[in-house]
Amino acid sequence: MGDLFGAYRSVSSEKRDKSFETISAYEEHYMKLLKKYAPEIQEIEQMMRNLREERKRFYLEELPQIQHTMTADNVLSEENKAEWLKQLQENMEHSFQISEALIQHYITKNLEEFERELKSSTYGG
Amino acid sequence: MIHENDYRFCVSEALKIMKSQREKLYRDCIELNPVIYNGLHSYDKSSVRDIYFQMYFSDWLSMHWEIINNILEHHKEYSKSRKKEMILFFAEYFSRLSAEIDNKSKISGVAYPELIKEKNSALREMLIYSEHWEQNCDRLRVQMKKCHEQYIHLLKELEEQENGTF
Repeated sequence: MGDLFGAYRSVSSEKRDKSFETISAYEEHYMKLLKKYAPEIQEIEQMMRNLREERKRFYLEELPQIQHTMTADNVLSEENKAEWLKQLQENMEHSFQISEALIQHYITKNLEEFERELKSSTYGG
Repeated sequence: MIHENDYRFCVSEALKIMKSQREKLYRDCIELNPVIYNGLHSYDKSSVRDIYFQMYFSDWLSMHWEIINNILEHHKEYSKSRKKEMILFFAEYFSRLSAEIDNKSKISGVAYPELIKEKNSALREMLIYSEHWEQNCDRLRVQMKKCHEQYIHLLKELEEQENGTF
């Protein structure tokens, strides 16, 4: 039967406005939008970097410090130490994952806004 | 639907709270927080250790919700409907964290199942029946306080039992 709905999925070739002026206007608008959203993009990048560094610091620096503190405080039960470290890591990881989900939400909302603004100028502006 | 600019504020505040509570967790480990270290030094019974650990994380979790509420209470410029949308936004992420931590309590069998159930019910109903968000918000804060008191009561009972054996 072929691709019956292909014509409805994208603008067919004969209907596309390929004039230089149209393409140029679209690209100019796109670049303006990118410039407008540059601070948001940088903010997202910063959030992700901060979270990565915080996670790295926890595993490489803070966890060994905590283990050292427990030993220095004469925590004699290895079982108790192990249980605390297990719960500590699990709950820290849950917290990191929630932060990741929040950043993802931020990215999604920004993308939606960007696409809305792009569409509104392309079709309605 | 959450106001367009509010989601930026919500995400930003939520990230700050999550980070500050992770920092608190680390500091409490380093600064010999009494609840944690009473648990670590509990050699007789693992159930006593587990109660201390669960109490710590239950209070740690509650602090996230308290801070969010305090922040919103101090923003007098927000209308009730905006506060509602923000609380519901936070509740969604908070409920995910709460579910993970509470599963541990159920598995270890030391927490009061009915309190956890009541707390999760308040959260769930806040998200489903958003028009009752204020009541459910208050209900949640009460349940968190009850959780803390019940852990203290449980520890006191165990202490008295131990003293009674001497």
